[in-house]
Amino acid sequence: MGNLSTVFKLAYLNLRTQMEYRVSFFIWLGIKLLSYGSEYLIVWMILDRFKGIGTWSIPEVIVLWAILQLSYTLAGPFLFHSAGRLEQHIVKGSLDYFLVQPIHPLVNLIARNFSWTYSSQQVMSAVVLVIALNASGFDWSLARVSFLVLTILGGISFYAFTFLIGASLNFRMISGGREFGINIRWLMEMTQYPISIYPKQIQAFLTFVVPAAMLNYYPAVYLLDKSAELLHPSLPLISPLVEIVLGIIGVRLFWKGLDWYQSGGG
Amino acid sequence: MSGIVETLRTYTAFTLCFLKAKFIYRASFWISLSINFLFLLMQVYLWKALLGTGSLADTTVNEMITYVVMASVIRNILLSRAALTIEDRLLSGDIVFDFIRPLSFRVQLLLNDLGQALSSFLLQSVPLMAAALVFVGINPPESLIHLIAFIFLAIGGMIISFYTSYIIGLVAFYTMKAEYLEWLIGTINTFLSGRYLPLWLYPSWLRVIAEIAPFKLMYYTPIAVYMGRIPLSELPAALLTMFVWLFLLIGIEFLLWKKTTNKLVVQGG
Amino acid sequence: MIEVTNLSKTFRVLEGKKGFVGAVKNLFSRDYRYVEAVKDISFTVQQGEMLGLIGPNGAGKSTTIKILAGILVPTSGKALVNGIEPYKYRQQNAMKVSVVFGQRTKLWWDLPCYESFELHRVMYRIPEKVYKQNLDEFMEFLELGEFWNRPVRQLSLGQRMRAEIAVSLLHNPEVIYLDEPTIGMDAVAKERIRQFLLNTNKARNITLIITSHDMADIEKLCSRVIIIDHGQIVYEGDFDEIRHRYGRERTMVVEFGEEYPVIELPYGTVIKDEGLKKSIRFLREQGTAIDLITALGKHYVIKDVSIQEAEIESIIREIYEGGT
Repeated sequence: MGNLSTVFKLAYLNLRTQMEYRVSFFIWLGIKLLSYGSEYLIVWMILDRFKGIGTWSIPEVIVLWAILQLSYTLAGPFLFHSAGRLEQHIVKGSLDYFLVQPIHPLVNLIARNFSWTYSSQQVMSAVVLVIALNASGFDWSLARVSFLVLTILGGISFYAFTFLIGASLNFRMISGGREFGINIRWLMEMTQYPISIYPKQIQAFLTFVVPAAMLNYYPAVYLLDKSAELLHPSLPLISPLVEIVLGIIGVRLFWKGLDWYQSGGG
Repeated sequence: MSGIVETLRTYTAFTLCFLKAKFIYRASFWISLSINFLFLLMQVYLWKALLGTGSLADTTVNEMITYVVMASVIRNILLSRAALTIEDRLLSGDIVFDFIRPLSFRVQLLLNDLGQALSSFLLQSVPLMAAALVFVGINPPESLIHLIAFIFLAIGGMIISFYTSYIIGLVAFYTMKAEYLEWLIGTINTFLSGRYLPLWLYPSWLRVIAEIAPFKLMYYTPIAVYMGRIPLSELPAALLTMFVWLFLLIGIEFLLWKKTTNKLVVQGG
Repeated sequence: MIEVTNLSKTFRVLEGKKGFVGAVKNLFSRDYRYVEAVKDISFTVQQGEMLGLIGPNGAGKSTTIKILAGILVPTSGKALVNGIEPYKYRQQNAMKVSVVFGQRTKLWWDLPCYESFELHRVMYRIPEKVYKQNLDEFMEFLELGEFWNRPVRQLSLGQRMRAEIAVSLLHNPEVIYLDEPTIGMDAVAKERIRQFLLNTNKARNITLIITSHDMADIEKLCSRVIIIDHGQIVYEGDFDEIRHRYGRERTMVVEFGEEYPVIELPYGTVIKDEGLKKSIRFLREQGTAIDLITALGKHYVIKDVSIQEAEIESIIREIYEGGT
């Protein structure tokens, strides 16, 4: 672990850099807000005609979506420019410097590339989530709220996993590492709708092969008290844990990739 | 004459380059193909869940499915790397080399994108179509004429998409940040191109805006023609609109280009 | 002190396949080949020494430096920097050494220069007093004040390198590795850097290991030189010795007035005959260039002459040919 003050210093330098372009910083915030807002709007436009999808009301569908978004916007600032753009760092040669500086290379990499421009989306996703939960008749009990927090942590972990696994591929000089992560994140959009609309095979794929459904769908089933036909009854409760485990695996894979880079590649 | 042969030869070389590059991304290639298909399925199943066996505003499930499949097919050819390329080159300074090469820079970009569109079409759209035909089932085109018009409009939409991208890229020369405009246009595109929802299902206020903008030419117009939602009588108007926008966008791009090359010469490295 | 014992490093390199068919094959299987970048090298560096690592491109210099810096892990053998293996105890090692890669920067690109210094102070936990002392010194000698407030991306190469080296010395490292530090710089800038390095070495007894393609760098800075080629140490010793023993060759390109098929030389040999222009190689001890030209001038019409000093490549070639 590095020196905590170094981490803060790096984050501060990032903020300064991003604010150097003062005008663009705010424009960027605004644009991202607009862009994310538009996605909500499209979904809403479609669903509004139908008052929901199957047994899921509009607010409930939005809950699914908001969980995804909140998880992404919380994971993104740490990982998007660091692990998500690792190839660039390798090509630029900055990675080598990280290995010669007295702080943990992963911490170094992340802190140096921390992005402050996600703040508007974070706030928006959180607000939307709360509103949608309310509109769905969410029971704000301690148990449920704790589970909600766990779900978000799981979401962040899984997104982290997608970035880290892409990065570990980059370390091993396997091209397409970044695309791999991008593709998985893209795939995850399938769970913005309740996966009950998909045939069993696809549900299984989204549960057991790429556990995207474990991020939002299954926890939502529990959180919103939905009676849904699930592939397995235990899924709602174990889902966040599985996602967190995957996050940890992601970090280890990243480490192994770094080791490989040091001994075999470069 | 020889100019055309040369251009064709270069064009073929570019395309081959792209095909090769795509192959080298092995796992990535297969995965993105699958993801594309799954994404398509997502929309198909959504509409199946929403419409069941019924219909909405006289649109049947099969029609919606056809619409969604065609949108996926078109998506692959619209992507232009131009704006990103320009910005990257600017930042790294490589842009100087692009001016030295024998082919004019703009022609290069266009050929690049055409090559990429062709290879994407062959490698992504065609398999996607095939898979859709087998697993999903789509409606056939309304008529042969409609089909031909569709092809024209799709190609026109593709070029409109490219030129929109080039214009954004040129703005990068001034602001050094094409990303913003790209996101902005991307957002607007989401709404106005009819990519996710046919225009006839839009709320009326939005439909009005969408009809005026050029973005519908990328998705809505070609697909609506294919499906016969735009009848024979309106085909000439649709094609005309496309040509007008093409002309406008190419013109703007050309003017911006002139302005920018002047500025670049002044600014130097 | 740095001890390198039987160090070897082999890389696995992806074998690119040729052509379209090759690209398709690449989809299904990958071929690797092994490149021995460093083969069983050993040497020692005393504290305070200034060592030059030279050799042609791809010889293994950068690989050796990276291993010493802790960036790469050796395939076999060992490297000890002040008692620890740098690739095993990276952070511990990092506090005591510095690396400067000429072609990349460790400075924060978008922010004013001083921010990178501040960052360094925090990262290496440099005490306030030490920081101030060092900074004052560097400010003065390297004239950092000139661009202290300017974003790094706006600095010229020379200015950036001054900042780069200053930052690298803030934490009083015991060893500093410089990989092509003066690459791309003009003569004045180079001289300033060299002078600074010399002073620093004298004042702080810091060990300096430097690779460079500029022989003048090596000549002016290093007391000792190791020549590496194809991953192995080809020569180790002092620079004076090299110059005397190996830099003996000179090449003279003479443009004659007429095409003489045969040239009789008092010494030296014609190594290239391009009709009117001929390249003649001779050894320093055989005679001077002036004498040779004068001798030639007596019998042949000479239009122009140019003289080339011994290149590192030719020195190495000579060493390989087992020169005395």
